[in-house]
Amino acid sequence: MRIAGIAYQLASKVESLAELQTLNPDWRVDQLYEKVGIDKRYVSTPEETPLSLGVQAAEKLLEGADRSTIDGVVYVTQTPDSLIPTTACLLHARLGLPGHAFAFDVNQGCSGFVYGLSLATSLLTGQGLTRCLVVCAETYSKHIAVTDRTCRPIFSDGAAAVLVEREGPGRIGPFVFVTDGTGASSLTLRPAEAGGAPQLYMDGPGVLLFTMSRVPRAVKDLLEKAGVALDDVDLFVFHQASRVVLDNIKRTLKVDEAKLFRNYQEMGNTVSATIPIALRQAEEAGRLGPGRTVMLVGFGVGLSLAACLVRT
Amino acid sequence: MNADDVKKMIAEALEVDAFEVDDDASTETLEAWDSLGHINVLIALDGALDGKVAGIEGMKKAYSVATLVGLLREHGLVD
Repeated sequence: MRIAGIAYQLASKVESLAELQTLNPDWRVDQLYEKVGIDKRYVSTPEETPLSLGVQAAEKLLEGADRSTIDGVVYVTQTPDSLIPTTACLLHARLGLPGHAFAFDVNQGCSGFVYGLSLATSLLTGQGLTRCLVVCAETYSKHIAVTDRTCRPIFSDGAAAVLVEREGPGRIGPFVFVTDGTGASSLTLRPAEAGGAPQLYMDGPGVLLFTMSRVPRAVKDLLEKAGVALDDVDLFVFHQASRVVLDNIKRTLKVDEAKLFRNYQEMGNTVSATIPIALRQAEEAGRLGPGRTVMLVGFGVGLSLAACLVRT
Repeated sequence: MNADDVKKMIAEALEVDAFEVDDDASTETLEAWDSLGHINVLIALDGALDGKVAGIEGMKKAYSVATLVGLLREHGLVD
């Protein structure tokens, strides 16, 4: 089982912290930057949707590939272009995937890619299939006002497409999952006061406490389940929530900075697309050679966490 | 650790003078103690108390010295 390829597409408009400072003169952006660590983010235009970004990412991935052998697509998003029918069917049509392929949506956020990967590997193994796509796409910025000091400096719009194959070198798994539905209100969509688009609400301390208390335990559980030591992991790809979150995880788990992947500064937090984008960039940076053990940990909205090991 | 140590830690996390964080200090009395400031406070306390703070229920809304110290005392983390 292996990840055979990854491609991604970011939204076309770049928004910097300096621009947010101009729009919000009362913000202390120096303090914000110190905590969040994000210089610039990608913001979708009205024409760009999760589906359009997902199609672009998948088209890059599948350029020149034989699409008739793709057995399915798992589409991860929390802002679907269509509820009925499921957006995965629209994606299936736009990509020209074969009729025998499964297609369904998964409504998960920051833990969504690892959820998608677990479903893909289970279906490939359980159904004797060959290859499938996991596409993660999100445009949270459509639900965040430029004056929202909590969410606007963090979230970014983008999509990633990943090809998972049953045959080939490497291994994907095991997985661990954590859910705390009592924290659901910590990150949610709220109806707009003036009847516009619903607005994202985040209780920063609430989400942070979930991360601080549950990520270290989940990492230890995963290592135990896999029979692997922390030092055996070559690269940690945590959800790129913000600098403060990654710094805290690093401190708590005593992870070597050299083994920690960070790309939030130039990308922002693209929700479920974050981990596959990070994986692609890690590969481009030469940090994902053959025989490496990589830990993926997605966490956030839900409150939800999913983690797994990938052996390249 | 005692209550004075906690107050000192809160002052450092919020980057305010120590005298500003008295027994009655809270998000109502300190401008720096907003949601970002609270994140700094939680991280500082969790770091100092061996990662035992994050799992305490009620900590995310402990927006005053009295509530914070009370919760930490309840869990045997402060004298």
